Amino acid sequence: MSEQKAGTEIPVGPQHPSLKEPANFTLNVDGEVITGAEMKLSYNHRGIEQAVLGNSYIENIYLLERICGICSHAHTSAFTQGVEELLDLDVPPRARYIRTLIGELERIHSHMLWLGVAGHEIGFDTLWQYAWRDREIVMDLLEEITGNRVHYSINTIGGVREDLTDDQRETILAGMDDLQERIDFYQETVPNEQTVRMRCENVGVVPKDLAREYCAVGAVGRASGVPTDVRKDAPYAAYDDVDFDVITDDRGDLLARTVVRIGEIAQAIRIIRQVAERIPEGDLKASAKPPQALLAQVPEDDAVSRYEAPRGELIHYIRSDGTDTPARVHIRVPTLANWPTVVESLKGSYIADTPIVVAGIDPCISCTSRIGVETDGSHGGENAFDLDELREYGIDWYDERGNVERPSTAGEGRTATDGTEGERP
Amino acid sequence: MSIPGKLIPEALKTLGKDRATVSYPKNKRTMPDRFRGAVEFEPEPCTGCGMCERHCAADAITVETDADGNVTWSYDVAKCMFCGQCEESCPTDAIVMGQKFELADSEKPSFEESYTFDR
Amino acid sequence: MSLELDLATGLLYLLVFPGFAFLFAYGLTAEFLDRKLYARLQNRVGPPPLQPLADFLKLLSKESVVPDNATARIYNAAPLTGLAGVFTAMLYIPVWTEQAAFAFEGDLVVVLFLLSLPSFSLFFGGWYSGNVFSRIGTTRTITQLFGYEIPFFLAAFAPAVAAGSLSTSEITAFIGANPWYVLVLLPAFAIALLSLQAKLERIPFDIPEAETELATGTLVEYSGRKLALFRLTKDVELVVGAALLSALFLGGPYPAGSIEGFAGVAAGVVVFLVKTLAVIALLTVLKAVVARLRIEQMVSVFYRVLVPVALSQIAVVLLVGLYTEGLIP
Repeated sequence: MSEQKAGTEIPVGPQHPSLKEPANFTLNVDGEVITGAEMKLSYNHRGIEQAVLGNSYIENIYLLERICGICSHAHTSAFTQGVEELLDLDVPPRARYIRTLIGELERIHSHMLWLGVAGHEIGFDTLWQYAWRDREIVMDLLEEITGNRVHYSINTIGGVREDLTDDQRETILAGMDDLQERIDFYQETVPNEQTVRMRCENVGVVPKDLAREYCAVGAVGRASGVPTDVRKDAPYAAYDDVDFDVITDDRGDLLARTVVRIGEIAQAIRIIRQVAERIPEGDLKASAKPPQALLAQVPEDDAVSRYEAPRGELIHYIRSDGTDTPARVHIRVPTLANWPTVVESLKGSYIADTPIVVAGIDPCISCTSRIGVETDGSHGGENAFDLDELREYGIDWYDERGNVERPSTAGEGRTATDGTEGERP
Repeated sequence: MSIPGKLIPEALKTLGKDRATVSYPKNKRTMPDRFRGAVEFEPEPCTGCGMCERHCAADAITVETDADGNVTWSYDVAKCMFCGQCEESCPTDAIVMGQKFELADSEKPSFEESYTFDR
Repeated sequence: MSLELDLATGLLYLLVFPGFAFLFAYGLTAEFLDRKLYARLQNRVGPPPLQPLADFLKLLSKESVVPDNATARIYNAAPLTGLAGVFTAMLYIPVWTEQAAFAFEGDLVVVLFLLSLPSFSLFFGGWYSGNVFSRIGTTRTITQLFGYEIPFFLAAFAPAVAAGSLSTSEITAFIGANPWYVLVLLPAFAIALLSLQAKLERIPFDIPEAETELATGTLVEYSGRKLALFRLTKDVELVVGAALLSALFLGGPYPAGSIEGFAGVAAGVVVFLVKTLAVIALLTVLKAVVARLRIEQMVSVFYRVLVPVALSQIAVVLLVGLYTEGLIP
């Protein structure tokens, strides 16, 4: 065990049962208290931004949808909004309403998922099971409206692909009634359950000024009293037509985030009811042209598109070069904006709080993996690599590893740590 | 400090409820009409325009036309990601997203499907 | 009674009932019922009845790895000590009559000591398995041990004070003779339940093994046979703990204990099963409705809340005793 710094170093991740996706935290602990935390990300770099460049805008909708299995609609909406801006298309109101509807249903299922995960992280498995059971109401609605539980694929450039039938509106309203009952139950019990309060109150606190300084977005920012919400600040889809409140809290701890997220589910139900009742008649797409004809019209330009994903503000930057494939797409997912607050709020909290503090920002770790930047200064004091340095570093690393004598795998009794630690320089 | 156990009434009520889990292969649910399962192809209306291949983000569909004008339309369900864009792009409704979703198999060739026809 | 017969009944107690065979079967059954009820409380299906046995047998057939960093001798011995402790403890707890299989004045102290053995075996197994997670789990196990042992002892001594004896069998007989003491001892029963939950490391006190924090903590390196033994220890400990609570606070086999002959034994066993399962059900419901505490919160709850309550419970028992003796009006 390394004892260079005060106390013990505990590695959390990249593989750890509390992390559903790979990320690495190195915690310096003194007894049960964390004195320092370091974070490494990008274990799951999938090269999506590069892959996007080889596909047409139409194909990219489905590719970008697969960045995340939870906020899939957020990514397609942000992307199609950007492309519509490039094409100067006016999305018809009915399509805007349907996008809003799916977006809010998605917000509900994402927050319910988080509630379950948070329950599991603090050892409250019953809450986890209940939240995920009730989440099925929304999942079934989504499947009925769009044809898939996860990747709805309802957005297309200039509108939506599927209409909302009257039967479906009835089903949605009935489903919302059931869900409202459940949310009332969660609002009443979860923040008032003493053991939940003990685990969440004053844990992982992000004060308002820290949230502002680190640009925390979404429920994390709102729970710290920063009322940022793209839906209000720069309304897209049908958000300027519907009434809803931005839920904020000023405590900044995990309890506040729980309260804010459950409150947002209630607001989402409110929005969905308005949409289902007031959806205007009209076209689904801005233009009747086949998709290929639209793609031929994309000018040389760039666009920034913002979307309030369940986890916070999602930004897509799209640069086109006049062909049917984009020249550059950059994606800033909300989790990236919230990571720094995690490292700050880990310091001084207990080891036992690590899972819930990490889960408290509702991290979507694989979505965040855009680029790997080594910042621990172990490669000659620099803070980042350029491409040549990265090559050199990679070659050196493999050379060094090649010199290590490999343990023989043949014969003898196997033991757990056989040749997996200690020898590496 | 309040007494823990706000969930006790709900938990005891749950004891009387039917289980939420469904015994899957025994009780199959019917998929909604819009469900996007494996692609179903009808060679008759197909013109061999290749729009489905062009818009397929997963490269699951290939359309080839040889010198004699024979069109070969092939589809690999193992690559397909069931977005339904091919159905959307097809100008003649030759492609429809089916309802089939139990697609697992241990033989690779069984994922591939191919039609050759004259246009 | 001849020496041979004595030896034969002794072996019967030890190996069949209420010893090894019975505890093994009942422990696995209790695990099944616990898991099933837990699942039903969460609206899940839960395991089939033979699942715990299947898990146990599967683990037995798996490779049991000893890590390089572990101190092999202690690492291998740890699972056995805990299991031996809980099996032995059962012999001093009354099952079908008010008389335990073996009993002597002061066996309550022995039972309490033997019930601490699993925690110590966890401590030794975890500490010497050379893994950082198991070390943290180990320190938590010990911290938790200090947290719950004192309230548990105090709660167990409340009926002992009432009965004026440190023999489990005599306490059971006393409670059986004065059933209204069950009500007087209710606070001590609640404390003992919470302490037992902490001893068994179940939610909300599963802090040492905290799946989402420490990946089962102390047991993180254990696999195969040794893990199976640890899990069996937990199951048997659950049963023995429930039996102890039923003997100390619920009057053990009462009202069936006084019936003579075979019918009495059968009725006694039924009452034993009903009472222990009721205790296990209470523990399961508790597990289902709360979140896991942090270690320092757990210790603070036990010291600041439960110890004073347990102390005043003993005072109440003393006063009630004096009142029934007619020493105070």
